Parts: sequence; structure tokens; C-alpha cells
Amino acid sequence: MPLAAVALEPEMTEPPSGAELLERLRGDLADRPVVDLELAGGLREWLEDGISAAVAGRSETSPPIVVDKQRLHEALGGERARATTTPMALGAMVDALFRQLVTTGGLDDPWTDALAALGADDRGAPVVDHVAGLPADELAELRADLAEQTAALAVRWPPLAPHWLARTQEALSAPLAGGRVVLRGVVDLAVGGPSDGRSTVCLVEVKSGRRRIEHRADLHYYALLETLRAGAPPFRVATYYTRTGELDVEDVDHEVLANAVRRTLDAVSVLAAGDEESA
Amino acid sequence: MTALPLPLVLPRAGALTGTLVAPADDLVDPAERRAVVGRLEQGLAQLAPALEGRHDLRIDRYVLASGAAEADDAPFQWSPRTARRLLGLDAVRACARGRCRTPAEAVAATIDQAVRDASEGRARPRSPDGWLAAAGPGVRAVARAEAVTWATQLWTTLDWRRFAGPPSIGRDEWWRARAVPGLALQGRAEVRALTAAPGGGEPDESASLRPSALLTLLAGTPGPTARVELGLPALVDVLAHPARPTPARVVGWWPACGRAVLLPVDRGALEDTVDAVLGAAGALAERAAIA
Repeated sequence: MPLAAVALEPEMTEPPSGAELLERLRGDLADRPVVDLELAGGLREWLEDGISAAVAGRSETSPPIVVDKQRLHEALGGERARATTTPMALGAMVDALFRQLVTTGGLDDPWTDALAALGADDRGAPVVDHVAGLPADELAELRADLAEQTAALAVRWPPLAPHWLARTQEALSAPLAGGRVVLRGVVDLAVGGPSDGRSTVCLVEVKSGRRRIEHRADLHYYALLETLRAGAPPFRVATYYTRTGELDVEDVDHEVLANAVRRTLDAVSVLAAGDEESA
Repeated sequence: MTALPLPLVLPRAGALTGTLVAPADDLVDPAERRAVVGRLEQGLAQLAPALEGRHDLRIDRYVLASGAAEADDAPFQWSPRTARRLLGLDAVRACARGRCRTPAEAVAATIDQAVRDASEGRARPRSPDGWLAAAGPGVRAVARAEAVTWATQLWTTLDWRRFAGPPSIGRDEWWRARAVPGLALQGRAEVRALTAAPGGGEPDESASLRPSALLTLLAGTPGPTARVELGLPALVDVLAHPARPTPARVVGWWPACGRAVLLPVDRGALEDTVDAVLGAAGALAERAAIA
């Protein structure tokens, strides 16, 4: 199912920062929705029914179909991920520094710290290698972009109180159809403790590039995964654009989650059919 | 093994904690324990010649999950991911004892202390202290972030007010067979608590006779080896502490997918785990023979 069009007018006002940004993430506590205790189970059953039908033709011994936001995007006709590009490297470095800022409250030497953080883990190696292989002019441009984005980030992004229980790079997953399909995601930032009957969690994704419609679909997918695992939906999802300081905030309602289920089922059908053809 | 149907109540931590520490009997009688331990020791003794001269072989839950395929000889290295559990456990301990209010504050204090200790020549053995002290701010920040996320997941999994006595947090148990001294079994449980007294009474003098219950936090999603992964810490407890009651249950918690699995520790659970351990030890022996 195609995404519904969402108006994404450029914001004409100053981007939010400090207390205003916090307020937009947090909202009014009294307005947070009461959790429908049947919702997560209903969404899971809907997914189980659709996914079981989609994978019915696959062999029991086939490896599981692992779905993440990139595979969802590709299955629904989006551009295929390529080898590491400089914009991707910039995104990974900004992600690492955002994590550092949220956790420690400061950024002293963004270039060195980002490369060190990425180099501390095998998963960051392609980015470190890409940066090491850049010609001098592109390297200088990347350095300048990173310096500009992180300087603005450090000024605008507010410290989060410890009792918000901020988690960075939190893994979410949902095994379905007896583990034959696994939905996965890693959200840049989750804030808020476990639900006590009202929705308490806000999910945030950080983007170093331009504002794009797919970013909302990514967050809807993460909202679905969070609902399945926690039994309560997040009350809000947000994308923070480090290049401009824009914050795209959306409340999570049943329609958001239903659209995420439909989109996931469409993608899994495509992926399962593709696997059968190639078998 | 049962997938715990998480109740339609929020927050879930109360229900999970209640299940963990519910009153329980020792499900394994002494004769059954001796039979299980004897079979394991006998099986390992048969593999002893093939494993002779090998040192530092370890069977842990990762080895059971991978069928010993990942029991490689690569030297262990500290990284943000390998350090997060130890740092996170220190932090949760600090929160449980009231020294810190939140995992984020506790992890910051833990890392500051670790760096200070290492700088003053007091790094704890087998700790990431020295690695953290030598790491730059970028690596230290990602180690801190990983530990905060991990610790927050454990801290919010349980309702810590519901424990009758202070639970033991993150003390791994080890056991070595006399016949194969180079092979160690590691039982990892993030939380060990006494089960509640029957009738819900206050802690009493018979507390040491009550079985414990273990909670283990696992990454990803439950796989086909979940039963023996959960059985391993119970088996190691039995092996390492012959005088203690057998743990009553192990609760596995996969925070990424919000799944909980309950393993009542009966003879069948221990026997299945012994089979898995012997299978993994056999695979290690085959690899040793090839090498």
C-alpha cells in the first residue's frame, strides 16, 4: 500500500531548541493516551495471519526472512542500498555523536570521537574504511559538514533528565510465524519508562540528510515494533534533522499502527515471493 | 519450558517479578541430582583424553546456542559491546542498593570509578577498567551508551520492591570437572533471588532452605536452543553448590522482543542441559583433534 501523502512544508520559524524541543518531545503528560490493552495482541494477530499466508509456500527449513527498514523500503520499490557513500558515512558519524551527546552531555572533538566510536565495533568498519579512502577535497568537505551539523546539534539539543530513561540504539524485534519472519529495527533514541497504563515512550530518529517522506514510514514501523514488544504503543515519534534543526513530530494512533502493519505485510509478501522465485 | 503469557496489565515488571519469586518446592530430589551430575561427569571423563592439554575452554550459553561453532580461539577483547553487561550490572547493583537513582547516573559513576581505579593501579582483574582508562572519549562514550541501554533494560524489567531480600545481581557461577580441568562451564544469570516463603510470609529462618530463582537477560529472540540456554545456569548452580537446593526456575527475558520464557528446573530440564553440554564438549574435542 502506498504511503499516504503527508504535508512536509519547510518550517519558516527558527528550529526548536532547548526547552522548546524537550516540550515537543514530551508533550503534555495528561494528554498521553490510555493504552488499549487489546491493541498489541490484535496487531500481532493481524501480522501473524498475513505473514503465515505469505510464507505458506516456503519450506520449513528455509532461513527466516529478516526484515528491517531498508529491506521494507526496497521491497516496496525504494532505492536499493549501495556500498557506503559519503552521505551515509556522514549519517553514521552524526548518529555516533548524537549518541555521545545524549549520553555524556558534550561533544569535544567530533571528528576524532566519531571515528573512534565507529572503529570500536566491526559494524562501523565500512564507514571508517570509506573515510580513510576519501580524496583530500572530499575529506575536507565531510569534515566541514560534520563540524557544522554537530556544532548546531550541541547548541540546540537539550540535556535529557536521567529519569527519562533515555536509551540509544535500542534493538527492537518481533519474531512471527514461528520465527520464519523476524521484524527488526534499531531506534536511535527511546525515552520514557515502561507503560503504567498510559503510553510513556517517545521514539526519535536522527537524520543528517534532507527531510524525506520515507522517514515517517520508518518511524511508524518502529512504533509498531515497540507496541508489539512492550504491549503499549509509543505516544509519539519524531525525526530530528541535524542539518536544519527541524523536528518532525507525530502522535501515534491506531491508524499509524494499522498503516505500518499493512506496509509490513505488503513488503513481506514481496520478499517471500522473491525468495520462492529464486529458490 | 513455557512461553510466559504476559498478562494484560501494565506495567509488566510486577507480573514478571511475581512469577520469578513465586513460592516453589525443590523439584529435583537428591538421588536425581546425583544421577544428573554423575552422568555429566562420566560423559566429560570420556572426552578427557581428546581435551587433554587444552586450557581455557569454556561452555556458556553462546556455545550452546551455536552448537560450539563459535567457541573459537580468538583472544577476548574489550569493546563497548563486550563491556556493556559488566558495566550495566554494576550500575543496576548501585540502583538496587539505593546508591543511584537511575541507570544513566549509575553507569556514569561506574565508568568514572573504573577509570580512576585503573589510573591509580587498582584495576579489577578481568574487568574493562584498564581498557576504559586507555580509551579515548569517543570510545568511552559509546561504551557508556551501550551500558546505559543494557542496564535500563534490566532495571525496568523487574519491580525491585517485590523482592523479600536483596537479590544477587550478576554473579556468574563457574564449575570445572575434575576429569577435564581445562574446561569450565559458565552459568550466567543477571538476577538470583530467593523464592518467596509459602503463604507469602516474611523472610524467615528457613530462607537458606528455599530454592532460588534465576532471571537471565538475552539478546535477540528466543531460538530453538532456549531451553538449554536457560537450563545451563541452573545446572552450573547444582554443580557448584551441592549443598544448596536446586534452583526452582529460570526466567529468560528477551527485551528486544518483549518475550519471557519460564523453565521450571526439574530432572528433565537438567538432563536436556547435560545432553547439550556433552554435545558441545564433544564438538570441542573434535575440533581439538582436527587442530
